Amino acid sequence: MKTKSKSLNALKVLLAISWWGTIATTVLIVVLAPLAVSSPGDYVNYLKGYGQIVDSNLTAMTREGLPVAVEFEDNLLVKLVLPAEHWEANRGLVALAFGVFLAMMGAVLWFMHQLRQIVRSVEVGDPFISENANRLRVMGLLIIFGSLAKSVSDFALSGYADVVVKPVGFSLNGHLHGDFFSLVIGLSVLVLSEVLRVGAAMRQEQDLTI
Amino acid sequence: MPIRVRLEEQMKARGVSLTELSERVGLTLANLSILKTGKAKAVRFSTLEAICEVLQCQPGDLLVFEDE
Repeated sequence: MKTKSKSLNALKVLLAISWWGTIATTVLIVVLAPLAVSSPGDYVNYLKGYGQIVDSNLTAMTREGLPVAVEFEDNLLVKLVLPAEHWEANRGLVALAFGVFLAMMGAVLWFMHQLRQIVRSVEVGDPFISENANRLRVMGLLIIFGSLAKSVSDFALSGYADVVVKPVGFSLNGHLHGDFFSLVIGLSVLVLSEVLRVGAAMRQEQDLTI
Repeated sequence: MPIRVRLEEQMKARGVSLTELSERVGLTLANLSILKTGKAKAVRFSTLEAICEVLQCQPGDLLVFEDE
């Protein structure tokens, strides 16, 4: 029993740190964003695209001195550092990226809020309630839609990078690639939420058996 | 719910209070109240037996089916 409360306390502390850390980071970026838009710094002057290196001079040898063919797989993450002038001329895009960032942080905070509420119900000693099933469902949907949104935004960003730059020695491709692992986790959380919903209903029935 | 618990009527007819019934049956006031107000989802045979014994009635006097 003592071990249980210790692990719960550790979880609470970790969640509190993540929660307040995320809020502090968001506030800090909101405060710093106007400065960044007026004068792009290192943190906004690059684009990320998914590319494929088609002409590489990179080589490798085995420890025995035999030549090794170096190839890069598809969907290689490429960071393109653009000159500040580009962002000066495209402030609307920086503002759009800022909006997407805020929406993303909102989703992260919403997810963490659900987790904190679940931990609170565990602390009270009554976690098998339908509210927690709803919370798990929200978390599962956030994981799935967050993963899909990331795939689409990466795709769009890669497409934009391809419009903005003329790649030499590599190509920027527009492959839409989903995060299968996140989708599986999201689906698992949805299944668990339904299990908890049925469990909560069974417990309520048990409680109301006189 | 089509099944209605007629505990209150039976208690009134015999002049037994909820507290007294609770003590004699061995159920908590809260649980008896859930039963009386029709919020219970199920009733154990042992509970029914104890109430019938105290109120000197039949299970059919306590539970009635009412078509909605």
